[in-house]
Amino acid sequence: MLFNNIKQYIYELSEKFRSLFVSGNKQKQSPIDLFEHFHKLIAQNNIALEIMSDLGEKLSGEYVFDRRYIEESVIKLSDSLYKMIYHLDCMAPKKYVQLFSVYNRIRSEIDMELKGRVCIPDGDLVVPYTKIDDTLEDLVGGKNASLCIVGNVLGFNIPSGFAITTRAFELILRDGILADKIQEYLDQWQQDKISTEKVSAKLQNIILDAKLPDELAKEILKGIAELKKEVNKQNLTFAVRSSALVEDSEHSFAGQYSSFLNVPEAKVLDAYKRVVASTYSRRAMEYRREKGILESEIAMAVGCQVIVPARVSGVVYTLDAFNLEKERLVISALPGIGEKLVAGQREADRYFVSRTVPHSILGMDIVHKKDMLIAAGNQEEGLSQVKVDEEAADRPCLTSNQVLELAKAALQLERYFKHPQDIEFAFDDQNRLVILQSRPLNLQQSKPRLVCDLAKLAEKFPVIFEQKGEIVQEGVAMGKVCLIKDDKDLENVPEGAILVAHFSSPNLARAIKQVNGIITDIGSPFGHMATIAREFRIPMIINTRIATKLLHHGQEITLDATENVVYAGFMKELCFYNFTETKFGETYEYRLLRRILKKISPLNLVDPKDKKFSPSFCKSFHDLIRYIHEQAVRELIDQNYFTHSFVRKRAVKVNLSIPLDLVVIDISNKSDFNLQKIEPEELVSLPLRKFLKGVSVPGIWAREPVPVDFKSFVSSMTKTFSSDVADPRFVGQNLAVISPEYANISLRLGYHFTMIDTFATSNARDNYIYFRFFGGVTDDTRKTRRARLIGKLLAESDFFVSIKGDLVIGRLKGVSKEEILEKMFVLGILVAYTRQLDVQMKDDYKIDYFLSEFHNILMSLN
Amino acid sequence: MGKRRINILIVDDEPIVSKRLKPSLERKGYDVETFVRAVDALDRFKNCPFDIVITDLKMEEELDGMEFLTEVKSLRPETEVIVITGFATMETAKESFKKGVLDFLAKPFKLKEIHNAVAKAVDRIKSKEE
Repeated sequence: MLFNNIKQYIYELSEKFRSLFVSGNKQKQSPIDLFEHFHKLIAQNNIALEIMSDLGEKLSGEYVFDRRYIEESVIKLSDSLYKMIYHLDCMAPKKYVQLFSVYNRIRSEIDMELKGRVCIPDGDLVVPYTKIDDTLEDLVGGKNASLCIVGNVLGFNIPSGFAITTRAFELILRDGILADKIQEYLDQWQQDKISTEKVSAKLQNIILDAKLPDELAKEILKGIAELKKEVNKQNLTFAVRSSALVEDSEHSFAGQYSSFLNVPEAKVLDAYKRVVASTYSRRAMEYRREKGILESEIAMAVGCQVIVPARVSGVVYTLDAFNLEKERLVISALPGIGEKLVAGQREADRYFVSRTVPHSILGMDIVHKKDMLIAAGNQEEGLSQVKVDEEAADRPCLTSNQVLELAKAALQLERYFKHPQDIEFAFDDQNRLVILQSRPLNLQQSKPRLVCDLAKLAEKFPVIFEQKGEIVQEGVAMGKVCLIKDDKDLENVPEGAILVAHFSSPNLARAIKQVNGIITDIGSPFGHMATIAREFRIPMIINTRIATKLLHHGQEITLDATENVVYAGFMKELCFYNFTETKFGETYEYRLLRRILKKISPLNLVDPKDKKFSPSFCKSFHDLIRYIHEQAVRELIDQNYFTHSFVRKRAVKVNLSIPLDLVVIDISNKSDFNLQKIEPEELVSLPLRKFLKGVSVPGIWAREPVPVDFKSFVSSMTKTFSSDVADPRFVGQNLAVISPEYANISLRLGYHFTMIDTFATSNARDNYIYFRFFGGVTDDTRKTRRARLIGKLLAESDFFVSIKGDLVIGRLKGVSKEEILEKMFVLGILVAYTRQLDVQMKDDYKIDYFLSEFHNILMSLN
Repeated sequence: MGKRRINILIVDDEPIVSKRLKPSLERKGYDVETFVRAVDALDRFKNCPFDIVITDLKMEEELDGMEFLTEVKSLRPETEVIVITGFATMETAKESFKKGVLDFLAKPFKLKEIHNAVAKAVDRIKSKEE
């Protein structure tokens, strides 16, 4: 549709590539070529965005896909991106050559992931816990990654710490002389020339005797120094724990590797070596051999955590697997540090708590606690045993508040990981709950009872509705309906509720940590709320149209977001069954997709005015796409060719009812510009038409200009012009570049600069609005206030907003054409309305005042 | 009469496919067996009649999907075959339908699509039995 002949196009492409290497002169592109390339670039831009969106959608679990799909999508995406770079290069020859190397860099990172060897990603030797998310699992190991999700995503207290990565492991064991020695012994062992016992002892000694590489020792010591700062204490002791790579959840190396508690600072490096050496403990080597895991696949990361001064510690099983019908959690607790409890060597208090709200305590078994473990003092490693206070020995070591807090936390973890959990916890000396570890509860022995005849089960529970709307995140959730009619209702969402709302507004995210599931009438599976639900793995169905009508507040329902069915009543068996399935989230393909998407989707480059908006700061494909798009628009508009006859054929002034001088350039060749001026209704671009309609609403634009005091005026002159003189498009004509579905509008109204870029097609996935506003005639405070006002207005219209000083950027994506057009209309009003408002923004109350005035305007227009 | 369980045979060289399909179909009350090699699946099929076979087309082993389903159809014509493939083209689709395949799904597909295809197959089987 955009190029007549594919062969011709490919020929042109190769010709252009050849000429890139040959010619050196910077020709000024003819406007004809410029527009052609721009239009093709935009087309590739949309293909790329669509592929990205498509990949992201697959995270929900509704789809079955394999590696090939990921590989092919990456190829198609790379292809579009490459073409975009090519077209940009054609628009501005030689100006953007560094883009090719940036592209290659990111592409090769993605290819490495796809090659799928137990890939030790490029990364640091030491990573602080605060910087770890679940995509770093291959770098920091499963235990560290899960713990950091519990802390960084779900917001629980976790020990402060850092991970010594698999990269460090590789450094020690795979590079250099150690590697050769180790390989030699492993070869002998594999050929049965040496017993497991002997080889294990030899390998462990090699590691223990080795000197850690300087850079690694330095990083670890630096990590410790950072921790001291973080917890504000100088005398620290540490837990040094293994966190090995596991390919999938079937291989649970629980208890195979070593951990050391209460390690003084001076001994951390040594403890690290001991943990690494345990990779080759006899038990571990035999286990791997039995399971067919290659030695080359093993990699060990280590966690170094500040010891929690535990008053009381223990373990929670979120499901009593031996007494399923009792539907309870089991908490075991004892005073002090819980190490022996975990190893099954100690008696502890037990609490049985109901899994359903309000989590009442169903029973307790209190034991006599004679002694407890605490950190050995005097810079000694390890724990020492002390006597428990006589009074405390027979009392429950947990208060009922603590039990309740634990139960809620444990179930939240179960909800997130979609599987019953085995959780290690402690209450520290400030009575804060700290989660030490959370891992899947082994349900093997209960499996037969958990699996049921689902077909029969479904017959017992009436279906309220099914197959309505779209699945955003699969899973099964039970809970009482919490119907949200307006934002105020979000303040009191009960724990374990199923949120039912009309719109899927980002505000719902406030309740994300308490809810079991979400159902909406309206919303986009590509919108922000959907992304959040997927991140927290909360089962969610969107766009049902009828949820708020058919469900009532307080109703007990079961949401099966995997099959898209809503049942009346609590289907506990379904929830249990759900626990036995390998979660999609635990499959290798899911993790691979997530890791690759991390190199593709995150947008780091948001603000074109930022000095970081440059190729060297591009971290993802999305960054590149954004950068190229923005630069293409600049290239198109920067070149001052208004005198050129070609442009005159495609450019025309718009006849507006307001005093706005706007030139429109149609790059699609669809307009008939034989006239000097054109009526807005005759413009081919729907989004622009709607925008202009909004801008021209009577009474908004033409209000009395407020007299500007001289001081404000001067301050604006020096600031806005000096920083923007490098932006030639804004020192001149108000301009709109359009096609029937596209519009790029840049306006300079007074001293404010607005840029809007939008696509409104029949495919929601391709649609977006990018809105950018800055400037003003007054001092910084007023301009900032106006920016905040605009930010609020945008957020209310479901834009994703970022504000920096007086710069506001709003983004909206993935919505229907109708919605885009509606928003363009609102943006038109907004731009007209805020035109000179900064002068009146004398104080913060004015923000609310103008907010409500704007609302009145919108309501009066409906 | 008519209360016996429908059994389904799945063949795909990518383990993830069976890993996802099996539990999903079992939830609906079907008996499911899975294989990664068509050769093994064919052996099993010769010993046990399956109502439905779901198979990938291109598998890199001695027996590829197209040959496999041809064999299946000749051994037991009443078995319904559903093809799932990442290499969906007009030609392979046409060829499959000529061989009597009931449905043809391009990967990646939604679980919903597979359920619809299986439901269609079950309808045909049940109506033929009456």
